[in-house]
Amino acid sequence: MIVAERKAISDILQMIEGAGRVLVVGCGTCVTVCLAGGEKEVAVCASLLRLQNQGEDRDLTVAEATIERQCEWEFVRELDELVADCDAIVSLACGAGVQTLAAQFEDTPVFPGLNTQFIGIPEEQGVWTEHCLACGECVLDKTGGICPIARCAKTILNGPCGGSQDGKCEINPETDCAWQLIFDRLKRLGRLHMLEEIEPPKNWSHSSDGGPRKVKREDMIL
Amino acid sequence: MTTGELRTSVIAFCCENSALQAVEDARHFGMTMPECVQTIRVPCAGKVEEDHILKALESGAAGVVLFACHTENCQYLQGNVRAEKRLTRLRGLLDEIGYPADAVLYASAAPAEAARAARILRTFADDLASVDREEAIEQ
Repeated sequence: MIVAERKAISDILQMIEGAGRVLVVGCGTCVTVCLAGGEKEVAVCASLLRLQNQGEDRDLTVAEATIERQCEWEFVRELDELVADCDAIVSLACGAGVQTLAAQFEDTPVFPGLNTQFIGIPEEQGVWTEHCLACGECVLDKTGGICPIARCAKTILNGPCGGSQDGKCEINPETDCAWQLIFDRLKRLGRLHMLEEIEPPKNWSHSSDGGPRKVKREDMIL
Repeated sequence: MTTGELRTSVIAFCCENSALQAVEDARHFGMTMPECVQTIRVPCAGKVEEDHILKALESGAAGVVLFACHTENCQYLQGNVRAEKRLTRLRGLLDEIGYPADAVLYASAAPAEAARAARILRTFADDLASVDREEAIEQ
């Protein structure tokens, strides 16, 4: 899932300064699961904006809505009527959701209420960790299903580096060394021989270094 | 209840397995209780979400008490732990917007502790009354 965190309310207030009618929009997918932008978080954010405004002279109305997915047009269009009544939108979605709203509602400013962090998984209740960098050329087949791009601080393809100690990363001792995990996993699978293959330098043009990416499925294009 | 009446009131979310009985007994046995307390029965303090408390404050309540079971006495094991953590986080959120964080209180009481529950509510209501909330919010 895409993992995000809410921006400081003071930052959101600064963004919506001057707006009288604000719509806070949540997303029912990734950011609901990581407790950053679902229906409850929308309710909390909207309440905080209203409470903060209680001591102000400004007349502020805050409406709430949460749609299934903010990154798909058919769900975003459900907001047409609500958006017609507002001066600004605060999107509690990932960056893709914010941009979908901005593209759909060209005449209404759309502000991000979250900081999108990474593609990750829940490590335990209330803790999420990064597991995928969307590099565009997956190497998990060679690394026992553990990603050295996202989970090694140095993104090295032929690890471990010399800094790994007791299975922990030298950058952050709370973080497992990805290459230790890879070694342990391949050993368990009886596939340690795979580490004897030297992985050539990665072609980063498949990642964001190649500019904004696009995926096409010709058979699906109408 | 109108918003004006609520502004001087305390909303107490009470766990039905503990504090609710204590508060009801305190009333039943004529203990000194603030009149402004409105109790809301909940199956567990851990069920009360941040937005429930914020909605109570938005509706005009001067303060909100989240009344749970004592430590390690939760029927659902972790409900009171969750409730306390949630309230701590909520206080941080209120701080963020400059709203007086002492308007929300986490407390615990056993079903038989009517006197304790009454004392907690009295103290909280007195503390709230001693502060001009409107002024505090404006600051």
